[in-house]
Amino acid sequence: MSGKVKSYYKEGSKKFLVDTTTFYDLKVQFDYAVIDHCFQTKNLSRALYLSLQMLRQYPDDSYLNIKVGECLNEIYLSQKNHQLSKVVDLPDPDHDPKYNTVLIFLQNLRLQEVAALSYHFLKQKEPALLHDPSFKQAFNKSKQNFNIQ
Amino acid sequence: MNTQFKSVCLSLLASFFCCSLFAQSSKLSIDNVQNVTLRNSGPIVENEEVKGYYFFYQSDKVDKKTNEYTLQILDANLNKLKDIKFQDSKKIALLESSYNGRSLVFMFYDDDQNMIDYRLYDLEGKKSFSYTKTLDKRSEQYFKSAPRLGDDEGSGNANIYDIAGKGFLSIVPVKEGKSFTFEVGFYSSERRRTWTYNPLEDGKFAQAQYLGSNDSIAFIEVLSKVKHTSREMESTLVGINLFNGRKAFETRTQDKGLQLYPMNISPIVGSSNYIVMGPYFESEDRVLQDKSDGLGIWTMDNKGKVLGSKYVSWEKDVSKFLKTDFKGKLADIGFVYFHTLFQTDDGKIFAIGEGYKKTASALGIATTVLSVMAGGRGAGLNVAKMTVTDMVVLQLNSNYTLENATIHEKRNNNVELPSGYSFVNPHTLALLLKVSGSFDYSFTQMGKNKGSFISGYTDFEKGKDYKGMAFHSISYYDGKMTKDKINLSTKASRMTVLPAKPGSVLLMEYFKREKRIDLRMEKLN
Repeated sequence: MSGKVKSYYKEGSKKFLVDTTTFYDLKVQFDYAVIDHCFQTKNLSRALYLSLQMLRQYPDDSYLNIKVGECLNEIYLSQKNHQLSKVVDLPDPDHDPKYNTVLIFLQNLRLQEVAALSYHFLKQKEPALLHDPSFKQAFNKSKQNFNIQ
Repeated sequence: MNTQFKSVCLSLLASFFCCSLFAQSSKLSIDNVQNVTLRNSGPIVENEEVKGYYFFYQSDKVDKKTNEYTLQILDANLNKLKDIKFQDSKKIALLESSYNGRSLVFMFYDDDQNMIDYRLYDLEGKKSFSYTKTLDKRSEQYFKSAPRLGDDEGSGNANIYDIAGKGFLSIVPVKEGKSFTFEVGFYSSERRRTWTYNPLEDGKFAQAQYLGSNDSIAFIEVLSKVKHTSREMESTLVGINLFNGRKAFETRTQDKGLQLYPMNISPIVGSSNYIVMGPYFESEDRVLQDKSDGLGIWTMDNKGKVLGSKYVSWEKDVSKFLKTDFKGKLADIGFVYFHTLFQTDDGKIFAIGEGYKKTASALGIATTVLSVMAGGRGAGLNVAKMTVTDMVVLQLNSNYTLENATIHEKRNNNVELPSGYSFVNPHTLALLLKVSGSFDYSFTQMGKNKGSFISGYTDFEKGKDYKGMAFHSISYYDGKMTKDKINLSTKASRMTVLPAKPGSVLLMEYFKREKRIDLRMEKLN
């Protein structure tokens, strides 16, 4: 994709149909929409990867932090019910190397490790996000999976 | 452009973008599969780890006389590596296949030419060697009745076995005059080389079972008797030199007055010696009538010398862990066939077995009575049937002392016996069950560096929550045993479970009407 963009890109050729601010707003919204779409269509490994990628840029974003927890909770449930292949991609040399690393990591996790990962990730976000009902729901689910009352 | 419209556009755009870029690949479908059997697909295993899979199937009918075949090679994550197609006569029947860590072998039977064709391929899909063997009358009949591609079966290989990195071994039953014997053939995958071993026994009825091999010797158990109707079976362990096909040793499997019937061998880590394991009997006992007294374990060298032996008694040892009856027979389990024997990196030795017993067959009795009443000599069925019972797992320490024994209960399976099998000994019946795919045991998959393992079996369940086939796993990890279950309910014509990378299994579904194979990998918990 980036190769394709480079082939069309020319220095000083930026032409915005809308103003720059709106364009960047749309661009950010688009990133969130992609994550949401992946999560809704049960492409959880991709949703998790994209959320983690965006978290590097927006570490305190509540949506992204909660989405990481929700992805891990859903991955736990799918693995428990032996349906992981339906929600998590297998490593493939054609994937982005970073995405492949996430997939190899997921493939090597045992069920209890997935539960632990979700719980400890959300636990550290608890002080900042406790007021958010979505966070509460995801955190309670992770506690339940990790057998913590 | 209002905000709502903008939002809808954005979502649609995102959906389109995602659909085109993020197609999931954890499930693989292979189309145009006209016919496939379990025997012609399998894992590619190196150093006991699954590195990939091969699938051989009939992909098309070219004309009335010709079929198109495809050999598909995948990596451990189901990514396609090679796709080789070739055309051949419709008269060619694919019987069996195997992989030896370097090469794949496909064993074809050519009805027109009356010959067996062993075709060896490397993992690049290039045919490396081809060996043909014209069948004489001694084994022609056997191959004419052998199951082939398209037959509805779930059995494993009956004739061809992999010799790690060296080649393949085939054991073919032959009829010579009035005696039944066997022939061992070796087909090298390193260079063009083959040899044949024929036993020099006259006037005997002998059958051979391949037990395994080490670097230089292939081990075969030979069961022989003087007359076809004789009940007395003599068990011998024969070592055949893999380099020249000559007999390295021949040892009667008797020790300290006890008779051992070898079922498995396992190399000893860091030594050229190996462990031989099987049920043992008091020497004067007749194996046909009596139950085994327990499990015998021998350590042997390449000259066939027994270096040490240990006997685990059902009555004295196993009974500490399990319910056993007075005569030492495992309660409700019957005889035990041990599918595999192996050692983990912590020095523990595990034997995975499955129970079986002979019981009265209502169907056999009824058909025999009706046939006799009609003036016949009995129908093709036996008045006895075989019942496959529970799984048995024995855990021993490095000194072969029993540390634990567990029974994993499952539903009994009944297998009707052909007429004339009433007087066959239990050991031979177990081999019959194994070759016909009647046992429920699936496979054992070792983890990295033999630090863990997963053993699997299937069972038909009839519970409140679920009715259908289920795959059960027994896992050993970090010194602990755990169990898990995958329900195998499917709309596919056939479904099978194959070993996968550590901690996972591969579910393979064949949809006959759609001519499609679906593969998905699931993790065990």
